[in-house]
Amino acid sequence: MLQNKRALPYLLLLPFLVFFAVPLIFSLCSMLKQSFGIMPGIGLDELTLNYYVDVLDSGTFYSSLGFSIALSAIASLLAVGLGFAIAFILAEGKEEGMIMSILRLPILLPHFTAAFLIFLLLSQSGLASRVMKSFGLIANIEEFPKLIFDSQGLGIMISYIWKEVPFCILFIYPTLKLINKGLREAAYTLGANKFQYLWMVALPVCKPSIISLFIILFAYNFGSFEVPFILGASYPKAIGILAYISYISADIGSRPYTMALNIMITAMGGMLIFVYIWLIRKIKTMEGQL
Amino acid sequence: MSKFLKIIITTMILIPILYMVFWSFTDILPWPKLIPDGINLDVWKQLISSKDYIRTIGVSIVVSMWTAAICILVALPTAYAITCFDFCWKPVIRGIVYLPFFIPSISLSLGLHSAFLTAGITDSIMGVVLSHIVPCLPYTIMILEGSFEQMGRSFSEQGRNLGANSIQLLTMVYLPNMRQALYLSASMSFIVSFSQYLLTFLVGGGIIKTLPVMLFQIMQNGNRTEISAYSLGFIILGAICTYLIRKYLGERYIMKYML
Repeated sequence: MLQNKRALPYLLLLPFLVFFAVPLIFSLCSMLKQSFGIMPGIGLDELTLNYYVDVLDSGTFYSSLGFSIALSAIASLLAVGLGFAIAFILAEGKEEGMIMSILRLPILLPHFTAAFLIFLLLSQSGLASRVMKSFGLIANIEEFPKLIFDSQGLGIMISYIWKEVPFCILFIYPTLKLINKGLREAAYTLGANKFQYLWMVALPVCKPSIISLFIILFAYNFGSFEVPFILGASYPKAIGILAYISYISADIGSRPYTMALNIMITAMGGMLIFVYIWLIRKIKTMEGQL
Repeated sequence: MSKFLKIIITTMILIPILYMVFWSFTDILPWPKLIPDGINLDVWKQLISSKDYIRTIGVSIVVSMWTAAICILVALPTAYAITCFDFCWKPVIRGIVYLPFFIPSISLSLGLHSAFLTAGITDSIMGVVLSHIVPCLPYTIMILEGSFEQMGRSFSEQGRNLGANSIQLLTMVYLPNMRQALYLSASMSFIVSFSQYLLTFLVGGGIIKTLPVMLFQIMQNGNRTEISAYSLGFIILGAICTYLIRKYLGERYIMKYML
């Protein structure tokens, strides 16, 4: 009976291993193998690091990497920051009303639909530009700032923010509502003003969720393909686009190069896992102290 | 303050969506006109009568239903094992579960495609479903894990005292109390699979055409009216499907078959 019991969790994990772990690890291994130049199918069978050197030597890699890091960092930071601020103000208010259901709408839409909405609104022939023209703020279509297909990636950022702020609000709001019941009264009774309550009570309590939200959003935005594909400029390209273009190129000989690039993108995500685990540990010790 | 903010948020969210609805009924609208001369229903008519579109809807629903079903069947024992048992590889398993959240989606898609090519299961519905499981399952496990944790050990202790074994505990104690979580995780994996573009495009090889693949093709043509109508069609279908999942999984299925 005891032996049977020991085997049970592994038995329960069997479908997980078959349907998830094996394909996932197999795909990571096949990427790794190809990136080291081992593709017997096209006559490559020598282990080499040359493809990594090639990736690191190309200028486009750095411009794309820098562009993607900056873009996703700014978008995630703004999304989390705005999300926290809005959630705080909403939690201070009395009744919720319809707002929570409205906030769910952008979450239901896929990212590429959100990108299209931003295009309809903010492209040079979009709604914003038409409204400005009818108020006489601009005279012709070229006067409207180029927000879409621009080299700063503004359109991409706005699209991420539009979709992710509601997500952050819905994530943080319940926590804020919960502390409002006890800690809020305590803070105000002890003479804290609204700002002190925000800074010394609400923010520290929400810190763990703010940090994990930032990491999740950053990881997503960094390697996203659809949104920069729809809204991005031809230069600089987001790193996801760079990998995609290299992957679909007809030249199969460039496959190891693509995979080396891909492994580096994956490694960036991998580093985030360690940050995440470290933070979770920290949060747990913090909880232990309370 | 809070009221004012609510109005701003509502406008920011609703205006883009309503503007898309408006565009789906508009034929041509040269800049800087704000209002078109008349209502145009051509694209909607074309959408409803298109056989290709109906077939694509069918493929999409089949793929996402299979994905959601397999995800639930895989995630249930996994979440049960992770939360209610102690075993030595637990941190590793946990790490693997959440890996897809951290691997950028482009690498995940390209990696899975090249692996599936080696295994020879591309260009088929089965291949697409199997590939969708990877990005969908973490959400499913996360939700079910939360539900198991919420019920805690006291549930299992009571069940055990009454003489239930581990499997009976799962089917007769935990499952009937997990309706909400089961519905949530099923609709989550459905939606994630339903809006998966790149993975479907690559693994399906253009042969397996789902709604996002079709929508992307249309987006490249750049006709705003068409894109708007097809996007709306996509959103409405997604909403209907999650509603049906809630209705059948949430109320009937669990009561009838699990108890």
